[in-house]
Amino acid sequence: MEKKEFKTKKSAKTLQTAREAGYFGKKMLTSALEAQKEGRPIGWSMVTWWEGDLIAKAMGMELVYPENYGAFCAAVRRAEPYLEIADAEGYPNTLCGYARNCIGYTKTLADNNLEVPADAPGGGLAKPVLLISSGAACDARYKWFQALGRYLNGVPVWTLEMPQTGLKEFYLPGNKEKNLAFILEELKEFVGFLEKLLGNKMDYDRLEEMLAQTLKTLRLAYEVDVLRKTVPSPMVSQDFWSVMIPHLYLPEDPEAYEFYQKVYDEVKTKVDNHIGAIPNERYRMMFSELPPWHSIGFFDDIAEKFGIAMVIESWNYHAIKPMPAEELEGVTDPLEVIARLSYHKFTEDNDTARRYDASPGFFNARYLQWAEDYRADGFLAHPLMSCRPATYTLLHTKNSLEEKLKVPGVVIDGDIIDLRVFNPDEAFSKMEAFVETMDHYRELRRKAEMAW
Amino acid sequence: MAYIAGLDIGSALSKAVIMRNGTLISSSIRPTEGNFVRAAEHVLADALQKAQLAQTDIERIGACGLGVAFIAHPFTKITEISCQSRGTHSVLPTVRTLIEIGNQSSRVIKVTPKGKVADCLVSDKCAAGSGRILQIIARVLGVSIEDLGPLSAKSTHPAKFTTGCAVFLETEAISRVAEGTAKEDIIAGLHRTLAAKIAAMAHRMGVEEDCAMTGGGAVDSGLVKIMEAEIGKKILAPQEPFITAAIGAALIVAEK
Repeated sequence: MEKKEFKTKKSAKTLQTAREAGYFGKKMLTSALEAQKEGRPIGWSMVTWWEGDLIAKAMGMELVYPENYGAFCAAVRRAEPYLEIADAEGYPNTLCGYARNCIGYTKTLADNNLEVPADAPGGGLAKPVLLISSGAACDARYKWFQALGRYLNGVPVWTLEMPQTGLKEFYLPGNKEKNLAFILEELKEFVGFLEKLLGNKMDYDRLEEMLAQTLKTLRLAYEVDVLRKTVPSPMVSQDFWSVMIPHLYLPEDPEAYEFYQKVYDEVKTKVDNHIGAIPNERYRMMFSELPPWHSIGFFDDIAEKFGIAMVIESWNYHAIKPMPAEELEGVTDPLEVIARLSYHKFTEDNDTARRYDASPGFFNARYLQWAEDYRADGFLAHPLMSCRPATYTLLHTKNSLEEKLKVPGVVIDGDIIDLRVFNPDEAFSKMEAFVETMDHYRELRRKAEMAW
Repeated sequence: MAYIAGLDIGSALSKAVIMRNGTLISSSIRPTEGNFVRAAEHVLADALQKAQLAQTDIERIGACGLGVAFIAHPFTKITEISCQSRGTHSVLPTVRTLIEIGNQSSRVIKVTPKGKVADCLVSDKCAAGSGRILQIIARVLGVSIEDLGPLSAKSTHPAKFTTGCAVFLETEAISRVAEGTAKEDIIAGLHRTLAAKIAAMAHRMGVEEDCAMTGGGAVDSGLVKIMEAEIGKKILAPQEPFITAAIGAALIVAEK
């Protein structure tokens, strides 16, 4: 009988720095637990793309991120019990996996008199005094933290909005200014709310300091992305999904910046010496959108078997392109800098979107640009039953890439958290066939005299 | 020139071919009956016997299918999609769109002029989108699979099914029987439901001529006819629509 060729497992990662990045996830969890012991305030925050986190941190709040915790629980195969608790509480399995993991965890917290259960993965999420929610990118995020009110008696929720106008509307005269003014206004309200909740005033000097550090870290993370355009790819998605933690969650932390200097150096050394992340790179693929955290080792398997390097991935986890200098010219209010920074995240691809007549800019046009920049042979779409925003554009993007750039796509169903809906054998089989498809399209691009 | 074997060990049927220099020497099809080990062993032995060969005459084995891991001899595993594409191309070289309706799933494969996979869509994990539903309803109606096509052709008022789920389709079929709906109309209604699901996949990918159908669905003339209407193209069927993947497995492994 033939030995089973692969099994779902954690990724070995190709960068040493990626193997060290887990430190930052642990740091967030342990810092919050320590803060709890010291009586300092703790917040649970969604990824707000820097819109709310920096402000709360500058006010002295220690933050943990339930979305990151969901990915962590899935990666260590500890999410299922929380999913089952959420199921039993009546939440449908079509609800976001991060939300269900968090709701399940929070129920165990409530059942334990709001003391972190001793067996919680990674030490658990300490009890919060505030839930910072965000309307950016996802509809489930509006209700998820509200639902936690059932378990966390009296803990307030503050929801930050992010105007996401359509492409045509974005270019209407005055639209951008109005959107920025809206964000700025709500950030001022958020500061006022925090001052009341915490009983202290915002330290704007500290906020400016954190913001300056954040911009430095994001620039460095972006420069690593630029290095990844090299053939062969010096770094793959399996690495990125680890190294992204510091810039996404802790960009204001000087340690994160130091870490990214190490990442940059490691990647640059590989580029300079023409060393690929995988030794036999034959196909360069892009991944969209949220990965199967429980099965990242799958990407090692397809790298080894077919020479597939996942060269770029997951739009929403990436650092922004540095803002043009004129964007910040004369801007002295740190809240306005934050507003511009976060808004830039959701609009930076609009020019590309307009060029390709594609929309939305962030979930769609980005991949068209990346396909050219990263010389992609294929697109791996990972639809999630539990995540509409990361799914509804996938087929559209797949079709756009095929039609406009002759880059084919393959669809592999799964989930970020729930490994019960991911079939590695089936996924592997699809990839095997897709290799032929990439060969075919490579020939089409050659005939069309395209650049790659 | 050495002999090559191709095996396709499916959930319902196991298929084996023996080939030499790209030519089919013999083939065998037998029910898997829930025992992949026995089915793989017997179907290969049967094909060898028909070719008057011994196991030692086989230089290489290429294999695919759900039960592939249970093959006792050394073999090369190849994805079913590639096998279907290559095997169908070898018997119908003009085919560019292949619809395969198997027991576990349905697939629409875009085939290159060289028989490789240009694109592919696979149905969801859903019995209502695969040949499995044909077996379920045949059992409910007490007819054989072979009778589905001729009965469907006699339908004058195909029944409407309101669900896309095999479990509820079965329940609905029972309700239609109880209401006195003719078997012919129930079968034709079922064919429409299945054809609509698969045609939607085909349209999503874009149908290029020539089109062909393989797998169990290809021997159901009623389904083929309704599928032709759904996609608006003539559908070709290989003479032996069950063994195309096994042929493809043999051809691919011969190239390796």
